[in-house]
Amino acid sequence: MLIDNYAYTNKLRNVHPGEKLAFALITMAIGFIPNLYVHLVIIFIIAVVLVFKAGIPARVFCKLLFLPFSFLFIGILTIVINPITEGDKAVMAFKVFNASVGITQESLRAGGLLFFRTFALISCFYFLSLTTSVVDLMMVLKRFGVPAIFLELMHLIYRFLFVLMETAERIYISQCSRLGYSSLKTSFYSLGMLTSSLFTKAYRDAEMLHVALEARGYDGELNVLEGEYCVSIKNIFLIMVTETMLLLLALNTGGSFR
Amino acid sequence: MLKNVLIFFVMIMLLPRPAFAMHIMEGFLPLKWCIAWYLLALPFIIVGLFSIQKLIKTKPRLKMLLGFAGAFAFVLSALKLPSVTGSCSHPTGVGLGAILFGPWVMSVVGTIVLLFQALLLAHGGITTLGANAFSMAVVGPLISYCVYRVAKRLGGPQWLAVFLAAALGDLLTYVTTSLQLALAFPANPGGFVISFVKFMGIFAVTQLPLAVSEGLLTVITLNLLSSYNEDMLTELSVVLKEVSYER
Repeated sequence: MLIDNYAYTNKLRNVHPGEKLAFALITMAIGFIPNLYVHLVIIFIIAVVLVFKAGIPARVFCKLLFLPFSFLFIGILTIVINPITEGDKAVMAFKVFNASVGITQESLRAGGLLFFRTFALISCFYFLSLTTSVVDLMMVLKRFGVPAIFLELMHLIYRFLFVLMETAERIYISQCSRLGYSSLKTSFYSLGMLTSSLFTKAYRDAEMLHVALEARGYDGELNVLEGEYCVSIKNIFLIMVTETMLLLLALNTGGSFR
Repeated sequence: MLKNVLIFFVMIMLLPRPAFAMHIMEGFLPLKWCIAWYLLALPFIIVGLFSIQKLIKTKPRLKMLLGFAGAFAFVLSALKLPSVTGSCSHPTGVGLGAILFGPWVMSVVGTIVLLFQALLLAHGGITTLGANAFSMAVVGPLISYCVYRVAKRLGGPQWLAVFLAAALGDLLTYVTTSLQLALAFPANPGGFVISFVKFMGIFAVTQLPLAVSEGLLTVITLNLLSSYNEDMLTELSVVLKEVSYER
């Protein structure tokens, strides 16, 4: 999977995951303040850090940014179009059945602000997922006191996911090559076969894993080594400066256009 | 009038369906709703964790099985679901998981799967994880499980119970998502109700054929599973019974 690959190979992988998580989360929190300038600055900062510091190709980042575009487009369209009454000033209006619906200046403004907020927050989120691997993230979650059983399940699911993904892909290819998806009826049957055999395989694998672990002295606990990271004062200082500047920008510029 | 309605309906059916339409994307919800849905989903996850802990204490190998179940759900959501209208979407696996493992276990496993979908596939996000977990890992499985149980108790055939459980679980997941979006973005004139109607029109009505597809797929899958792996399913149903006793 693309994102996972970058999480292990980017140039920021040796930075302490706690610092990266803190940077992403605090920036996200500031991003919730409705201010267009802040949103744009956040997108810019993240893009610069990702491309120049982490070494993620700009093309990849852009592609990822527009990945959930269809949801955003439909969601915002739904919010922007409202039923309007005679007195409203509408930018655009049309009739559906007997009611008139349209886009008002006000709803357009709200929609636009939401659009940029979503982009600002999603770039913070990509910063986290592109620079921090799931294993590192779990290490931080452990410090936060997330229950051990939750983390163990996360570990197991993360490990098995790739095994099953590959199996599913292989089954899918071989089904395709036998015209398994040529019509709707066969598609349903093929997909049913795929899921049921995948489930059977998952069940068998789980069984075998348990046997293998027991043979090696498993007593109900899976312990894995954690990566060693050192906290960098310089990074923390930089994060604090950036966040303070962002906060000042958010509070002192009237970017919400109210 | 009737013609208008028909054209409207056909248009909605033909609309290109966004993949993973039901995952609310990162940053879309305002802060207070993000926190509210996290708080609402949390008790279900905690109950789920306790029931899993008890289960594992009696049967340690179930931990591996749950790990694989989660990975299975993740892979399932990456598959393309054939749809009657030609557009494509993805099975949610909500119904299948709830029937096989019960709703409490699914609340935990589902949340983890959603987290990975966000981190690895960029579907959903971490600020909206609470909202997505509530609709997909809590409401969906609970509805599926209840429908399955009720249909079985009323003496319906197995396939009908499975179909209804999967389809309704799927549909109510979308309804919950619409509800969440409508609550967060009430329409300016008209408020919550108008907004709910709008989002239902886009996110729930359009998913009706997909819910049917998911129901069909779940029936086929469970039929194949029971014809080839009878003993595995009986073993699982023993597990399931224990889950319901433990509650």
